[in-house]
Amino acid sequence: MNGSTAKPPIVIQPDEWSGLAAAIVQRARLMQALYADLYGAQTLWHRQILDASLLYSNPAFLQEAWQLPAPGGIGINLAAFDVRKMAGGYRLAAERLQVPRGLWRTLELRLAASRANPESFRAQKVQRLAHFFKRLRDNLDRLVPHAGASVLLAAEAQTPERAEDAALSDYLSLPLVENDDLAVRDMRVYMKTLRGLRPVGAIFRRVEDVMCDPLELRVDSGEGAVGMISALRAGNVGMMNALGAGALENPAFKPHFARICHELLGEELLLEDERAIALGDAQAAEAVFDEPEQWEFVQFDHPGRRIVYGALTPTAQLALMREMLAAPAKYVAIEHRAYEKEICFFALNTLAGETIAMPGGYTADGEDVWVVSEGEVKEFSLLAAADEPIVPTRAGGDLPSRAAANLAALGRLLANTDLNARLARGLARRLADEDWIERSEIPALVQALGSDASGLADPFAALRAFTLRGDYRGSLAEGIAALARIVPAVRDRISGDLVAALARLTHLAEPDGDDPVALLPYLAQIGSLVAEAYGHCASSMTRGYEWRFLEIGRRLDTAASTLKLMRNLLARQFRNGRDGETAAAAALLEVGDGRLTYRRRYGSRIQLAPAVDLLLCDESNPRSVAYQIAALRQLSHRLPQHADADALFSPLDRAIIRLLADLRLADCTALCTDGLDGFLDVQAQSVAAADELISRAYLDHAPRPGVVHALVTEV
Amino acid sequence: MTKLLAIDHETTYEYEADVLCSSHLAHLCGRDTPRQRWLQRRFAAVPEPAALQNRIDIFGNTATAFAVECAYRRFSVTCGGLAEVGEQHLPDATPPWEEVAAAAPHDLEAAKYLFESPFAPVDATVRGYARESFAPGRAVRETAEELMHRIHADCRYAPGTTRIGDPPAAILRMRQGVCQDFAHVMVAAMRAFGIPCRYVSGYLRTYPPPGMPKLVGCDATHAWCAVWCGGDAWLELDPTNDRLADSDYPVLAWGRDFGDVSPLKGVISGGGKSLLKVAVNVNEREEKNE
Repeated sequence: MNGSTAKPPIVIQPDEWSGLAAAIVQRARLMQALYADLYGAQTLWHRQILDASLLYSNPAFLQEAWQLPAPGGIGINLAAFDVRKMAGGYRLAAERLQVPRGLWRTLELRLAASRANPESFRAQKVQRLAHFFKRLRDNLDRLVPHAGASVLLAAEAQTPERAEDAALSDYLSLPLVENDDLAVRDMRVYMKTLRGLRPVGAIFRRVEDVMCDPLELRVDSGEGAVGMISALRAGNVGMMNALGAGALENPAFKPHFARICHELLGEELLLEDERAIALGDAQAAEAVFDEPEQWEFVQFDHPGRRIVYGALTPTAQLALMREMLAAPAKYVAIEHRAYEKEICFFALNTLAGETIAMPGGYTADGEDVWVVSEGEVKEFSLLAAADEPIVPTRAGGDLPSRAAANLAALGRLLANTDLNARLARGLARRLADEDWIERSEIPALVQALGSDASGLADPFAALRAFTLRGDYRGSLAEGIAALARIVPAVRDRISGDLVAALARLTHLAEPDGDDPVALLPYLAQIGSLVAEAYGHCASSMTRGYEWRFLEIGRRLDTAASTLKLMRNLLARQFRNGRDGETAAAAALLEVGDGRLTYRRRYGSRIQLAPAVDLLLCDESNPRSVAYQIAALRQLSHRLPQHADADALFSPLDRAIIRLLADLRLADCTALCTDGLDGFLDVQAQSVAAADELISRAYLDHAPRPGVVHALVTEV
Repeated sequence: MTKLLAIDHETTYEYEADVLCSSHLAHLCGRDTPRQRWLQRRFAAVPEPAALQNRIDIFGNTATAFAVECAYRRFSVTCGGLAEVGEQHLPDATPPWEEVAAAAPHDLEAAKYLFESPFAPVDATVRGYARESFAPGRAVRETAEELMHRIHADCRYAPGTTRIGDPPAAILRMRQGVCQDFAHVMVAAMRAFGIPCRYVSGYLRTYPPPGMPKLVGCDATHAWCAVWCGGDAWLELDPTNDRLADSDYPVLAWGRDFGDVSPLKGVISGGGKSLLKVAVNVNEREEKNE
């Protein structure tokens, strides 16, 4: 964020803060007490203080969380409170407990505001936030029951919340995992990494309650956390906040907090809620229905969404009224009042039994909140001090399997796009020529596009579809669309330059027309953008696992696609006689990017055997199959070893060595006379087998060819 | 009259491809109830689970979570045991349904079964269908029994015509279904008028035609419902067979609906298509020797 655009901060003076902090701390303790009662003894209900509907028709009440043990008895660790400053003081608007978002926003705004106003920041003795984060991090580690790493369970890569989670995990030095990075074995939670399964001790979750176990909660919540509830019940993993916290966010609690505070804490409530009326209470609801424009409405299923009655069109007002009268028990009315600011504050209930408020926060309008200190401000930062000695290391660390799989996918897609663009160019160039109809290699090129019989009848249409249609399987456009989808998932692991190059590639302007002549510059541009992306990989990525898996994906795909290309272009039925052979060899050299080398070596006479040798067996040609396999041999050397590392060669080593030997020993002249098709097929199978071995060993520890959700039905 | 029932229940899945690992949740350990006591319980899965956890859920059932972590093509769960099952203690005079409905929100146990739930949503169709039975001032038992008669008379027992998850309103439109569907209709209909109602999962002991030997494996898992009549009184009714549950109805578990007590569910990795076989035997034993 640019410092000059930062808004001036909201400043809270010490005396004001001491009252506010006490109120926030009390609220956090209250939430914890309510959580414990709600999922435990339920005294508030047994004593008829609260209505049963707040339990059993509360859509966020999680019966699976009933009497779920929480480390130290603390279910609500971190709490976020949206507090409105209005005439008459502060009022609580909402509490966010399942996923208290905004921590990173606070830091981000603080950074910007302190940079924009460094003098006043220092002069005013603004209290630092880092200490709160340190406590948060320490508290997480204390949730670990036996042993294991603390991790941050992030929202999915495509969601807008992901950036916050990535930044937060970075700041707190927590490995970021997604649901699919996890595996539950023997009622313990593990993280799938290149080195195998690593135990997880505590989870800072950034996903909602229902997304935590597909066996018992939402069926579509990902496959990694199957059995999470068993692990939690067994006390084998800690979670912050505990499952079921969402039930407390229900606005139907609002009218009752003063009473709840009195009952559970024996204290007067310091921070009042906005005035709220549950419409299920028919008597109280009358006042609301008399003057609905004075109220905002919240439906239980969407506790975060407020409907301001006065802001609706008359039709919408009527519809809302009808819905509310049909099911009043599902709605709460909150007084519609003007407010000056909405500030988000955070508090933490620690396992040590202490509750602390973060001295600061942010406003809904994007302002930093400064809490001014009377005394000295302790300098403290979670960011390591600049003069702390750093021991040089070359270790790349470990990598979650999903990240490795995504990087391999990026490599594959780049290789695929590269070859497909050259293939399309080869065809476009020929179709742009007026004598195209006489060229014998065109059917072979069309076949190589993966087109069916209709493509052979109309090669122009086939080329158009292949180049521009994202819905056409295996097409160039489909590959580019897949690239666009994978970039967000690998963004934090590749350089900014590479991200930028990929963005240009995936947001390329459409060509001016769809005839071959118009497509040619478009295809050339794709080729050079892929080359640029490769360049960034080669020059800016350290040779750690990230680079290694990107390369592995690239090499595997290049080998497989080149073999497939040869199989298609050189298929028997398309090369009749010497002319046919020459045309096919020329097309192969062009698409395979071997023309220059060929001419230098053999002059202008084009024959099949030397062309095949160049693209199949020549290890000095970076486009050849043999080059890819030799590169794979180098790459796989440095992968983490698994259980069968004791054997001299792992199954993967053996598969690659065999492939390399086959290619080195191949006699291209003989093969071109007889047996080329069969040879190419065998090599393609071997490449696929090596691919499978890599996937099994490193990318998915429990290979999952498809998950079946089975429900036994009774009769 | 109390009966001693020996129950054998085997569920088998055959898969066309290897299952790599699987996680399951079962509600197959029968619970004790005022009219039923389990003397023995059995539960075994093959291949043997790598981990198994028994827990009491919020409804008082024993839920069994377990995971199989080796590859297999055949999976079986055998369970059952020996249960003493008695008749219901039927309340003779029950209060009017309005009174029961008024008391329901204040009884925390009853309130668990008061609100609509995922498999038993309440809508205008359900409410409209049920209304006729809820005559003003009618005793809750009479109301529930009349509703049961109507569901039985109006709906045809037709296995395979509905799917689990079909809402009660859809069952009422189709006028057919299986025991779960009728239990869900009844559950939703009672709740539509504020009467708590449990979904009960268990077994039904069947009798061969006179003079015929009993076939092995012909008994069935079954579902019915229990209507709250105030206090501790719950009336178990079987809309599928239009009768009150008796000593031929051993109970496994109860909840708000099928989703809370599904006998066996799981997340299975791999496996492809599967073939399911369920065999249930419920046999009466001679009175045990004291």
